[in-house]
Order: sequence, then C-alpha cells, then structure tokens
Amino acid sequence: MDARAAEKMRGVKKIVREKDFVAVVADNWWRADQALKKVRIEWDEGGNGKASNETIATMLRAGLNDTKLPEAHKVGDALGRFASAAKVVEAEYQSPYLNHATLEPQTCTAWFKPDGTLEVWTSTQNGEASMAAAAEASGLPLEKVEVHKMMLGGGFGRRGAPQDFVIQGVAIAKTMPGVPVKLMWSRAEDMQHGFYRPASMVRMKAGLDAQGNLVAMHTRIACPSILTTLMPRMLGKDGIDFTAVRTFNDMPYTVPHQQVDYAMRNGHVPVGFWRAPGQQNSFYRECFIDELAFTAGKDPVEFRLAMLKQGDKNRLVLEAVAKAAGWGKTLPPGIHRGVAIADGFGSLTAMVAEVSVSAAGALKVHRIIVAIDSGHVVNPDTCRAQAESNVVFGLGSILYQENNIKNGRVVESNFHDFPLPQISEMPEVEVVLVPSGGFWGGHGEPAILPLTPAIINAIFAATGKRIRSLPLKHHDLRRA
Amino acid sequence: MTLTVSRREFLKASAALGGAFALEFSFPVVSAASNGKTATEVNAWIVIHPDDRVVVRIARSEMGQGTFTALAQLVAEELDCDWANVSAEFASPNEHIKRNRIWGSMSTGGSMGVRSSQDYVRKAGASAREMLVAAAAAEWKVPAAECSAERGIITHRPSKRTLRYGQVAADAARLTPPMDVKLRDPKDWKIAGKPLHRLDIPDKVLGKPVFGVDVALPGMLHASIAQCPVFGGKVNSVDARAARSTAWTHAPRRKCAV
Amino acid sequence: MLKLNVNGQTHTVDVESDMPLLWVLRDHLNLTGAKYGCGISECGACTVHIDGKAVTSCTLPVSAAVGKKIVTIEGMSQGGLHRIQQAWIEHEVPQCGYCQTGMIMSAAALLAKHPNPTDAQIDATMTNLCRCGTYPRVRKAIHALATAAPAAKKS
Repeated sequence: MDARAAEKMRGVKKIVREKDFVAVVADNWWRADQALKKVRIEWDEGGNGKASNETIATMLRAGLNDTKLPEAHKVGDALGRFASAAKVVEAEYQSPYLNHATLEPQTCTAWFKPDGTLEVWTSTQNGEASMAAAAEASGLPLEKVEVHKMMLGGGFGRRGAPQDFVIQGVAIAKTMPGVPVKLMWSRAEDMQHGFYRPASMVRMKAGLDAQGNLVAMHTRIACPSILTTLMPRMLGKDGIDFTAVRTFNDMPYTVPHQQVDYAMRNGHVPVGFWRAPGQQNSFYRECFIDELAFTAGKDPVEFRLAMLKQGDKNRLVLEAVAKAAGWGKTLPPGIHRGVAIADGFGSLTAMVAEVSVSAAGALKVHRIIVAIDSGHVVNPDTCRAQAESNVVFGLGSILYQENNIKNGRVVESNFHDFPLPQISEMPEVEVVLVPSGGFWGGHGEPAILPLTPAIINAIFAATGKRIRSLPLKHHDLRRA
Repeated sequence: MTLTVSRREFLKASAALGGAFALEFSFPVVSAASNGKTATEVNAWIVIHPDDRVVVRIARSEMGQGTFTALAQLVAEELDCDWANVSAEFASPNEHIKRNRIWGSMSTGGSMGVRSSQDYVRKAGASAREMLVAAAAAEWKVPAAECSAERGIITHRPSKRTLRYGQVAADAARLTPPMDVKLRDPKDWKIAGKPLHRLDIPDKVLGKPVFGVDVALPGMLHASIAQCPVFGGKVNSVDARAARSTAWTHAPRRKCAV
Repeated sequence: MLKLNVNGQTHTVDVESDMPLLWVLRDHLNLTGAKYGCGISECGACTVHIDGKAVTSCTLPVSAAVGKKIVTIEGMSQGGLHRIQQAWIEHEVPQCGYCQTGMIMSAAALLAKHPNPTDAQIDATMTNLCRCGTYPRVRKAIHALATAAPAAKKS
C-alpha cells in the first residue's frame, strides 16, 4: 500500500484500508475527499463484474418460467379455471432497482474514548441496531457503547436494518483511538452502495366469466428477497418473502380462484426496505385490474367495487375518493383520470390521479386525490404531509428514476442521472382523511402504494397506451 | 385507585396479553435528589420539571415523518398536561439496553411508529397521571377518587385545592405504578387527534445542528470513503501516487457562479 | 489566509483558494446550517446568499466569495426569527428538514427580487430538491408571504 502522495496532501491524517473499503481521514471533509480521489485503488471485484441489467432480467425471467415455484397463496383452483373462462388476459410487468437517495448521505461519527467506552452519533432508523453494529465492530460490550440518535435527513428504509455506515464509521475511528472521526459518504458512494428497492418482474393471468367478472387469477412473482438480505429469520415457509408477495397474497378482492407463486431470485445487488417495501406489486396488480376492467367493458371504480364485499372498509375508502374526485363527472378537456386502491402498512388507501399527455407525449400530473383510512388519526396535518411526501417520493420513481447495473456496478452517481422531482413537477395533492376507528394504521407509506397505478391508469385513459414497465422516460407517450 | 400491583405482576400481565413488549415502569433515577427542585423521571417516558415542563422520551427516530410529535401527543393526551409545556427527546439506546429494553422497539420503519407503540406510550401517560393524582391526594390526606387532573393541575374537588404536576412529581415517582390504567376514548381527545404544530420544526428552520452530518466535537477529524464499485468486492491494493479522474461531464441545472 | 464576511462578521481562514465555500462554512466556521447533498450544484441544500443572490456553496471556490457579503441560514435570524422562517413554521413546511435551510435561502432571494412571485417564477427559482415532498407547503408559504407583505425584507 503506497499512499504517499495522498498522505502528503494538506490536512490528510490517515488512509485507512479495510477489507472492503478505503477511507481517507483529514481535518475537513473536502480535503479527505480530494485526497481519496487521488488514491488509486485496485479492487478484487469478486465474481460479479459482468452482471448487468440484461443478466438480471434473464435471471428474473427464468424465475417466471420456473415450473416448480413455491406457492405463496392459493384459494380454489385458478389454474384449472382458465379453460372454462370466457376471456383470459395475460400481462407481464417489471420495475428497476431504486436507491433511497436520502438527501443526507449515510454518516457516522465514532469516538473511542480514553475511558474505554465508545460513543457514536448517527442518523439511524433503529438505535438498537446501531448499538449492535457499533458493539460488534468495536469488540466492546453493549454497556460500553452509547449511540446518539441524531435527526435524520430522510430515512425511507435505508438507515434501519442495514447499519453498514455505523460498522464503517466505528472501524475507521478504531484505528485512531481517542480521536472522534466523522464519516460522511459522498453522494456517489451513497448512490452506488445502497440497499435498493428490488428489481422485479411479475406475470399475471386472469380469467373473466361471460359477465366480465374476475373468477381466476394466477400471479407469478420473480423478485429478490429483502428478508434474505437483511432479516433471514423472518422468511416464511418455503422461503416466501412477504415483502415480495404482498398485495397479491392478501387481495381485498373477492376472486374465487387465486394462486400466487414466488420465484426468489437474488442476484448480487443488495436489496432493502425502500419506502413501502413491495409497493411495486401495487403497480402491477392495480394496473392489471385496470386492464381487466377495460377488457370487461366496465368502469374501473365499478369493477373494483363489485369485487369488494359490503362492509369491507376498502369499499368506503374507494367510494370516498371517487366522491372527492368527482369520478364519472366530466373533466376539463385534455385531463384524464386513473384510479387505484391499496391496503398496506395498517391503512387503507384509494387514489385518483388526473393527468394530461400533450401531443408531443409530455405527461403532466395535475392533481392527486387520495383517501386514507388509518382507523385513528393522531395528527391530521402530519398525515396530510405524509401523503404529499409519498406523492413526490413516488413520482420520481414513475417519471425517471432507475438504477441500472453495468459491469456489476450501479451506473448512476448523483442527482444529474438520478433526478428528484422539483417543485414545478409537483401536482396538487388533496388528502381526504376518513378514519373509521377501531384500528391503528400507519401514514408514512400507505399513500405511495396506489400512486403508480393511479397515474399509469390515467395515462392509459389519456393515450390508450398500457405502460408495463418503469420509469416512463423509456416510453413514448404520444397517442397511439 | 389501586397502587398495589407489583411491577413483576404487571410484566406478567402484559406478557399474557400477548404484547411484543411488556411495559415496564422505572423508578426515579434522581429519587434521592428529588426534593422538588430537580427534574423527576416519573416513569421511563416522562420527565417532569418543578416548573411543570414535561419532557417526553421518544424511542423511535424522527426522519421527517412526524413521529417525534405524534408520540408526544399520545403521551401528553393521557398525562393531561399543558401541551405548551411539552418537549421531546430521544431515549438513550445505552440506557435502553441497561434497563432491559425499557422503551420497547426503537425500530422506525413500516409506518409502525404510532401504530405499534400507541398502546404502551398512552399507558405510560395515563399511569403517570394517576401517580401524580395519588401523590397530591396523599399530600392532602384525601382519597384519590376525590381528585382529578387536567392540563397539569390536580384538583381536590370538594375543597377546590390545587397542586401542579411539577409540585408533586418527585413524590409521584416514588409510588408503585398502577396496573390497570384506563385509556381515553379517541373521541374525547384534546391533544391527540389535533393538527398541532410539530415540535421539531422551529429548530429546523433555523439550521440548528441536529443532523448526523452536523456533529462537531473538539479535535474531530473527517473521513470520506470508497467502497468496491462491484457489490461484494474487496480491496486488492491501494496506491495513492496516481490521480483518479473525477471530472463531471454534465451541466448542472443551477449555476453557482456569482 | 483569506478574509470572509459571513453574517456580518469578518473571519480569517487558512484554506486552499479552491476549497468550496460550503466546507469552509461547515468544517472551519462550524456553520452547519448549509448542507451537503450532492456536491455538484444539483440539489441546493448548500444554498447561501452572496451579496443577496442565492448561490450553491458546494461548488463555489471560497476565493470567489472574498470581499463579498456571505449570509447563511444562521445569519437570517440575527434580528429575531426571519419572516420566512416564521411562515415556514406556520405552514409546517419542513419534514426531515435537511433541504429546508437551502430552500429558505432560495425563497428569501426570490422574494427579495419578486415580492409577489407568480407560480412560474416560483417554479423557475425554487429548484432546490426535497426528497420528503414539502413542495406544496413551500409554494403556499411563499404565496402567503407575498400577500402578507408586498415589499419583501432583504436578508
């Protein structure tokens, strides 16, 4: 290890080499980062240097084609019902990997104190997990470790189960006992070393009877397993990862014959809990339901209501949003609607999106109306803010965000190639809180669930085009 | 009011109810000094100052979602204190371990903050309120049933005498926590359920150093890190003599030039 | 040695002339209100005022700020809570808050130039990125400030 030139740079105190990273320690962060850029590091890439979008797609598609998949859910006999169906509809959907891109990059300050204790300051979603990570990385007993939980510049699932930044921060400070060291990741490190929303692929097949009722649905899901990566003990029977199959294995719709198969295909890209883990499935299911309503010649709201039992709270939420959005009433010229419902993270949501698509194919999302039943509401203003938050967070993933894999690594490195929506792209958000009591639901994630399908279904209403993969930047939205 | 059920029985009862977390009330860490001049930990969630300021300890993280405020609202609702006196602080993970995970889960995800802890944080508030009432009743030598608490003031109804929470907190902390606390019907809420201003916002608009990246300690150094671009890879060799290209080739949407 | 005028005070700093202003503020002057988000002038979390203009300090060499008036979020409240900060509290704008110091600096520069900004002017100027989605409230707070006082107070 020859680090002379970098070590001589102003303010540089140390170059730390660990098994899987190199860090430069200096008297300010910019100097540390400048010196790090001068360090030439040769990596042993392991066996994954050739992985790419293509190899990952091939892996997922092979999962869909696997004939011996474990069943995540089964009601009736879906496979046996297709032959007698009046119409059979089949579609394949997919989504890319996505980084959390918290605006505050990963960070950890650690200080091995002269009294033999360790103090850690970090933006963490789980103080206990940070304690455990710091104790393990330091070799100290838990009692000798203190973690100071700082305010987080966003979390969205990045800073909970994975505590890589704490392990690194402690490892670096351990080489300089007595000196507090603050580790901060550059944006590029943050973009390229995440625990990404899994890329996934889903194939759905549905049978409608002569009256256009959905009688059988078979879903095959190929998706890396978040639980295998981060919480293997939570995996279900037959290796079923509930975050990969939710929304399909717990449909509120009364479909007499259902089967859900899960192909766990993990690849080498670390996956994690990205805001509302499993939310891609809402995109797939609710867009497919829209396809079925269209095939059946039925109104998308009516089609859904017909499959929701009387007394089901999902019904009330859907009715609430339809009423608030004026569903069925005439819209201004050029504006089109889409609808979707979701049931997750303890709450029930239904959403209507109003969009326009210009002759040149430019999409504008004008208004989002979302109804949420969380049972009780502790702070209605915060709940509204969370719904607004979910809309922006989801919108970027619909429009242009993706993490591509090439030569085993993430291609994107900053906000120029992983853009976040700006204020100009923000639709009006109308939040209808309809707490029905009797249960306690969440607000941090539920409103993102119906967002993608509501917008994509509105695009279909506007253009006649079925979008089955994201982001939209890859699609020509000009009217067919 | 019954103040006789022991902590062990309480834990057993909680466990029997199938809760993932058994609410454990602690005894004041500053009891020896609790002469009414210092802040008192009435239970693990609630610290009351002699001037009636209430500090609610929050186990979950605040990342913008508002848990810091919502959980404080739930505690304050049952405690029935003056919301203007309420502030919140993070519970210490180290204390948490030493005190046998007294604050329950610290995990902040899955939109769980409120829904998975509302039961025990509300009980913490209600239990503290009953202890404060009991302490006031003991001082007056009257039955606790003749006393009630509202907005941080305990009133002995027949005599109209009053005591503030801050005056009885130290005595209250020495009592055995009640076991069966009745929680309010959400339709009677006065603090919870309301669109109150968030507790963390005033600091945030001032740019006060509250984020992880803002930590500053005397003699602190700074580190930047490079990890293997290919997931799962390792460092082979490090050579600091040559420069890596770091040029950005895109045009930023905003200009920094002045 | 460089002399900087930050929030009305003169500071002498011993730093390289090409060090971005952000790191002088954060690591040398301990003014951590301006944040690092991208380092390439994309996100605006590092926005400060240089002679009244909103500037992304993460790519501005410190030498370019010498002889100019630098104002950071810490300097905004020197005479008590700035009316923009007040509006931000009233409208419950921040969520995680990380981008908000930059957002407030951009809003202050916008309102100084356009006391009654149109939505188009807000769109064009308020390009700061917010991952939490505070945009509807940012817009609302700016409009409220415009109606509250036609002549915006300069920072």
